[in-house]
Amino acid sequence: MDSSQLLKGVLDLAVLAVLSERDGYGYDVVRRLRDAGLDEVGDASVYGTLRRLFKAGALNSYVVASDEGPHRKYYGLNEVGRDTYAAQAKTWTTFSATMANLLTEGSAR
Amino acid sequence: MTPAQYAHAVREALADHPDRDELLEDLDDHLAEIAEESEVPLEERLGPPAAYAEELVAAYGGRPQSPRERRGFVAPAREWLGRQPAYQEVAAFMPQLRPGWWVLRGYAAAMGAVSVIGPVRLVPGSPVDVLLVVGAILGSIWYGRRASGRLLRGFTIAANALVAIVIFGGLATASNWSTRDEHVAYTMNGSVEMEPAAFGDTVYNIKPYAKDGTPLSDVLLYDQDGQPITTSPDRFGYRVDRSCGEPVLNRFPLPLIEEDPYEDGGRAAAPPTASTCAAFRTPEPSATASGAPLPSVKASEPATGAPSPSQAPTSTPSPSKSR
Repeated sequence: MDSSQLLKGVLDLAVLAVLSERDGYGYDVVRRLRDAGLDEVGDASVYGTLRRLFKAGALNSYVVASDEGPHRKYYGLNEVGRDTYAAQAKTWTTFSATMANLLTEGSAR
Repeated sequence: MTPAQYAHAVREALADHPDRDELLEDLDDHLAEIAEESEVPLEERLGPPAAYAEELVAAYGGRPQSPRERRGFVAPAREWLGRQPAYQEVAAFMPQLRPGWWVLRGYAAAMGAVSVIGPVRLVPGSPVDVLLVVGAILGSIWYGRRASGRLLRGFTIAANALVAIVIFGGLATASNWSTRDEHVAYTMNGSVEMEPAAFGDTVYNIKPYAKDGTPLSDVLLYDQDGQPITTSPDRFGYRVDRSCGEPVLNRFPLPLIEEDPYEDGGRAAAPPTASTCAAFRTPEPSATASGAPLPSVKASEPATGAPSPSQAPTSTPSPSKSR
C-alpha cells in the first residue's frame, strides 16, 4: 500500500495537529511533519492544504518580517480550526483503533 | 531557477485557476524560504513547476468530488461583495426592513391564498379576508421572530420566494387595472361604469330592441346592485349630446355626437328636436336612492328621435379615434 495515498486522507489532520502545537509558517510546517516521520509529505501539498484551511476559516495568519530572510506568513488555529481539529482527531482515533483491532484479529487467526 | 522564476512558472501553470492569486499569495516567500535552506536547485527538490502546481491544486481543492471546490467560485464572489462599501451599508440596513417584510409577506400570502380560492383581489373584500390577512400577518411576524433552525431555512427561502412572486404578480395585476381605470369616471351620482372588458372593450352605446324588432328608446339600465350602467363614449371619439341639457347617462341609446378631432365644437348626429329634448328632460327616476332597478321604464314606447339600425353610424369607431 502506498503510504502517500494514506497521507492524502489525513493531511488536513496532520497539519492541524502540527499547528495545534504552535503556530508555524509554510515550510516550517513541512519540516515538522517530516521530523514527525511523514517523510513523503510534499511541499506543495502542505502549502495547498494550509491555503485551503485558511480559506475555509480554520486558520488565522499573520506576517512576521525578517531582516535576513523572506517574510514569513505564520498560520495558527482559530476557534473553528480547533473545533475541526478536535472532530477530525476523534474520527481518526476511532478509525485507527478499528483498523488496529481488525488487523490484530486478522493476525491472530 | 530562482524562487521568483519558479513561482512564475507555477503561476503560469495555474493560469486558469479561479483562486490563483489567493492561492499563490505567499508562494514567493515560501519558495524563497525553501531555497535558502539548501544549495540544491528548486526543480530538483520540488520537481518541475507544473507538477508542483498540480500537487498544490490537488491539496487545495482540485479533488473533483470535493464539495469544497464549489467554494472556488462562490466564496470569492461573496468575499468581494462583502468588501464593497455600498453592499455593507445595504447589509447593515436590511435588518431594519425585516419587520416590514414580515408584514408584507403575511399580507401577500393571505391575499394570494384568497385570490386562489375566489376571484383575484388585491385588498380584502370581506370580513373573512380581513381576518385571514390579520392572522397571516401575525403568523408571519411570529415566524420571523423565532430563530429558525437550519432545517427550516430551505423551506423559509422557498416560501419567501413564492410570496415574492405573488407580490410581483399582484403588482402586475394592479398596474394592469390602473391602466384600465385610467378612463373610468366615478361620477358623483354613484353610477358604475360598464367594465369595458365585459363587453369586449368595444361598447360605448347600447341600442335595445323589442322581441318584434321594434327599436326601444329611453331604456334605463342598472346592474345587479341597482347602480346605473354607463359607458365611456369619449373613449371612442363620441361625446354625449348635451344640447338638450344634461341627459341621463344610463338611458340608452345615448344621444351621442361624433367628435371631430379637427374642429372644436363637433357636429351633432341629428339636430335635436323638441320631442327628443322632451324625452331627455324626463326626470331621472330615483332608482339610485331606492337601490331597486326599474325594469320597464318606458321600454315599449319608442321616441321619435330614437335611432334605428339604419341610422347607425357609418364610420366604425376605432381605438385610434380615442383621445
